Amino acid sequence: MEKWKLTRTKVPLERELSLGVHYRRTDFAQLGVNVSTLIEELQMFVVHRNVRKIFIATDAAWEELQHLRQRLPSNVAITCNALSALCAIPEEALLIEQGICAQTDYFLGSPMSTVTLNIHHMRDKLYGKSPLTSILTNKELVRGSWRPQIRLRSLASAEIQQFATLQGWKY
Amino acid sequence: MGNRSARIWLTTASKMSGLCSDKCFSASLKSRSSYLGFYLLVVLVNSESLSEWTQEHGLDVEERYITYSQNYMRLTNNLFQVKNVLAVGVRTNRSVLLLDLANRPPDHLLDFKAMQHYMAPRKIYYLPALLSSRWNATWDSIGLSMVHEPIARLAANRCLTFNGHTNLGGSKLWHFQNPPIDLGHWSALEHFLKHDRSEQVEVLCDRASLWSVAENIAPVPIAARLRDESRRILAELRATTEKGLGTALSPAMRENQLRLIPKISETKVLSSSAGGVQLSGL
Repeated sequence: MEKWKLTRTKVPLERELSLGVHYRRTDFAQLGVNVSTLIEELQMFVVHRNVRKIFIATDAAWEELQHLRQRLPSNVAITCNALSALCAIPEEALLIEQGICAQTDYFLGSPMSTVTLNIHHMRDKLYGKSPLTSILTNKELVRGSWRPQIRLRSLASAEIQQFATLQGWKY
Repeated sequence: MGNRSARIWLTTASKMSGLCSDKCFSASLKSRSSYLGFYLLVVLVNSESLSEWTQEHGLDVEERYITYSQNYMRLTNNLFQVKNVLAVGVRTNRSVLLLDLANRPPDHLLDFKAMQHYMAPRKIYYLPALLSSRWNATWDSIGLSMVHEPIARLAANRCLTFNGHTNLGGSKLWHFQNPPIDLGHWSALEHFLKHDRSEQVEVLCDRASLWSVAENIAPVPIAARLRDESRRILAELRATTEKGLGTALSPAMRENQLRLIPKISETKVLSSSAGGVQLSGL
């Protein structure tokens, strides 16, 4: 990744892109992602993909939520609880958060999560998003025959190259 | 049946039917004078087959159906389960009896019209047999009226399982007259349903395997009001800056980013007016 170079050509990025994040915690907290690594990935989206609007759906405990809020700018939305009265009901909050993540320009999901798979499916089938815009936080741990059609790596150079090509950039 | 104004049957089956086995039923009928016997008689009277139940609720006797014995306890898995069952129903030309979603009617959380459209020409029916009183406090808040109706436990001939699990999950609602048929894997289900049409209503008993299929899932969206709310929140998200996120990094990571970014910026033509990547802020 250190060798790639970006050169702007004809197509400028006029729009601030959005990123939905499903940061799965509780029993998935041991899969290698923590607040620090998550923020690093968010930073890469911001720097390399012009992401400016970030929404994080998470079931993290209160302590980790506070840690996350402390280290992220206040403009980054974490859960929808403070954004909508409908989110007072857990099931509705979950679906609203899934709906947000399904409609963002990029989606950063957690491996092995049904919520992540559901969001990816909604993005693909309902909103026509490219499968390349769904990215997992870390390498998928494939269990049994369940193999979601999500990229198994985060921000691989090939993805960046394809993205840059789509955006009219050369490198 | 799927409208917001639909009647909701609140079952007491799980409480009524789980106290005694079938052998106990016949024994207790001989002593009707006892309280226990009377209670069990009530249970017996309220028992009915799944086929009878579906016919009483207006389902087509000529139609074939697929349903599942128990929904997931978690909503997201529940949605996934519903979508999987819908997809199987479409591919095997069966209508779907849909159990409640996290104790809520499906049209509250999912787009019921979209589900109907997906199932056409087959139908999708709401089978509110597993409703509990857990969410009573929220019924009024979503404007649903309920009709408390004693309902039987549902008797079916058999259930289909996967991976050797029955996974009835302690549900007392169902009574299967024969042992389950273990299909081994979810992928065998469609083949089985296409070639075995002996049952009008096929019941899937396994919960764990229902999410093992991850392709060709029914594209059922969430309810319109929830979708609109998600769009509103997305539209109102405030933009952050690289500088803001840069300060969020730990010192070591921030150093890594700073090492990486100059290599990019050396060859990249920055343009602040075009809304492109701003690298200088770090």
